[in-house]
Amino acid sequence: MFRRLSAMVLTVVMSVFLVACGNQDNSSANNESAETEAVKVGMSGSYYPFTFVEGGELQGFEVDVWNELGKRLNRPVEFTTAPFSGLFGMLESQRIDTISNQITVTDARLEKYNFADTYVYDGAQITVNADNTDVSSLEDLKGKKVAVNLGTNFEQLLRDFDPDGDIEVRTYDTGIEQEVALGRADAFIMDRLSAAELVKKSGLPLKPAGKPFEVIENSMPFLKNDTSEQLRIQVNRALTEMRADGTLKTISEKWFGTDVTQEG
Amino acid sequence: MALAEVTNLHKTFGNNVVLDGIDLQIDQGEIVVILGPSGSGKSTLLRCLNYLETPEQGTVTIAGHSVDARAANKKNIIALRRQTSFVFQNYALFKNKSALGNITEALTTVKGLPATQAEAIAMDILKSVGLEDRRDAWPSELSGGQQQRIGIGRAMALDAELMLFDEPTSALDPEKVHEVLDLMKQLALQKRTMIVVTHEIPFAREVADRIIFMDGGKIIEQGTPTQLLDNPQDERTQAFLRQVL
Amino acid sequence: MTEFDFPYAADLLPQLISALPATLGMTVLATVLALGLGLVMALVQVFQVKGLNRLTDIYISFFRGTPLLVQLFLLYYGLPQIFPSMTSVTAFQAVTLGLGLHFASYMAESIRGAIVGIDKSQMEASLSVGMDRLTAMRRIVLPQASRIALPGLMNSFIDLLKSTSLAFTLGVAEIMSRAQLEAASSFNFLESYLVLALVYWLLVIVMTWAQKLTEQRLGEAY
Repeated sequence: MFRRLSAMVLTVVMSVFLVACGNQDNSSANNESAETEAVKVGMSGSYYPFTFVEGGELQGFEVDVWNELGKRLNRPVEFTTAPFSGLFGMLESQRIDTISNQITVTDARLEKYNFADTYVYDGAQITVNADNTDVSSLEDLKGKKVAVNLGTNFEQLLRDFDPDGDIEVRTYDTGIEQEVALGRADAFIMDRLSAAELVKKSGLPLKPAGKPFEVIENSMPFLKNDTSEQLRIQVNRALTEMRADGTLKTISEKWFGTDVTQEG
Repeated sequence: MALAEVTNLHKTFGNNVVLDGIDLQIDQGEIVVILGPSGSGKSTLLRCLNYLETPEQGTVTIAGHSVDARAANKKNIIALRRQTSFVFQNYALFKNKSALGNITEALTTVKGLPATQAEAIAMDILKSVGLEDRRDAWPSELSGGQQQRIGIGRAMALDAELMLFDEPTSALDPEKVHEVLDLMKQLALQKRTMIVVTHEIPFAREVADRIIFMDGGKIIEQGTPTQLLDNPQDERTQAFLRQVL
Repeated sequence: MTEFDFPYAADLLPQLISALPATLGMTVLATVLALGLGLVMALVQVFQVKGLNRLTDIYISFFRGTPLLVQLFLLYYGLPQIFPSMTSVTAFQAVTLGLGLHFASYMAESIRGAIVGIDKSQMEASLSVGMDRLTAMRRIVLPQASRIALPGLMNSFIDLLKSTSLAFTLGVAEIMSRAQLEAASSFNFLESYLVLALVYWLLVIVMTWAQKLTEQRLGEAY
């Protein structure tokens, strides 16, 4: 009895697993050489205009950058979209090779990951409801509800600024602009570029409050191992080329009307 | 040599001793009726013979297949059981099988006969139990008497060495009892070896080669119908017979 | 308030439908796994298989006692940290496996309850004609138990279908993630999630209808 039941369990588990794996053999081709294997790039797909889906098509600044990087690395690029808070987990478990989602280079992240060269210079921006008149700086956020995307450095930034917890920080995977427009949160914090584009595109009653309050450098994190390091070096080489021949600038102007890839 | 032999069989339920050292021999072709008050252990004895109940001690041998309670395992239990067939008090027909399916089921799954052959055998049996016109009926569509006839037919199909009947008429309406007893008499005429637990004294008198009287988990006395029914020796037998006759 | 954007909703529908294979694929594969594993665990419990029996108790207690989302995260993000080979498990596989493992515990209970509800004389009669216990289960007891278990299993099945929406958190391109991404770029939250809800609802209506038919078919017999 015992043996037959165990055999049944095994058969069931194995068969389902095999069927499930069968669907996916193109993505898990371990025997292919690293050169032709796709670079797996993770992004949220919901961070306009860097990465977003419209009409079923994934697009944005990051997508354009990677399509160009793919050409120069001579490797296909495979995009994986997942909620932002899950992206680092996917990187950690090596399901993706890097994250291309305006990841800000921070000390904490540098301890765990090596970053490619900075490709976007940005600032942290407070955005409030158009009716709001009493917020123009971080200091004014005390006692207010502030929305940030879960797992972002903006969340960390707020907590560092406000160790006593006077600011009520609320975290979301998506939809923070909607929260502020609806008045459920008083402000949200995001990078200046996305915030500006978001306000423009959404038509929601939102406005920037004060000046960007911190220069942030954004890039792509890689695991600290040999294969990832190799890829990072190749990406850096390609980024330098793209900067030199103006490709990076062209992509930036397409999405922002200005070059966000230069410091200052 | 005896077809079946039971030595020193013991069975308890919790603190309740149900079988207290049963010794018994059954000859080929013999028809044995077991009588006794309820709780005397007669049904349990029957169920221990094919190991529907597991005795704590003792040996059961049927047609050369022997199981000692202390060395019982799945293999020798199933080998022993396949020397027997069993008719239940509550019929216990397979509810998800038709009348025909109840009879063919063991033929195909246990004996491995091809479906057509099993069906041919089953149709013969349905004829002999007088239910060929109900071959496709579900058990729930049959009367109690009809169900028990199918139950007996299912047992017949196994063609086992020893047929065991556990109060086959107790659950029936009085007017249906005879149709089942008539069928059992037919089987008796074919000299099948049978052990029947029943309260039907007239049937026992007419059909049995030997009657066993049990009480308190023991065999009190046994003998031919005339000996046991007309001239019982033990006072417990006498008391029981006074009540049922 | 803005008006309901019908053209957007109409455009979204075919997009959601194009992501249906992922949703249905996870549903079907996970159901097969859950049913198979649930059945085996139910049998382990009914037969009181030594050793395995206790293990099954713990399994059912854990998978019923912890949130599905936590189990999925454990499977997808947690386990690869101990077993590096598990990084080759895709999100689709992880969710399918997770849903299967999770709902197996519920299905095991439904099946076990149904088996226990079958009169024990059915098993005894099967044994008396010479079947072994597993054959008796397969030929006699389980067919009868399936009728009793069906409503409970159907509930788990519907629950499983809806739970595939959690796959979006692992980045599986199923209908929930498709709707969520479109909503994020269009700001048409109401339209996106309403159309999405309708798709799930429709699927469940079809399933319920199939269940009724099956129940009728099973009910006609014996």
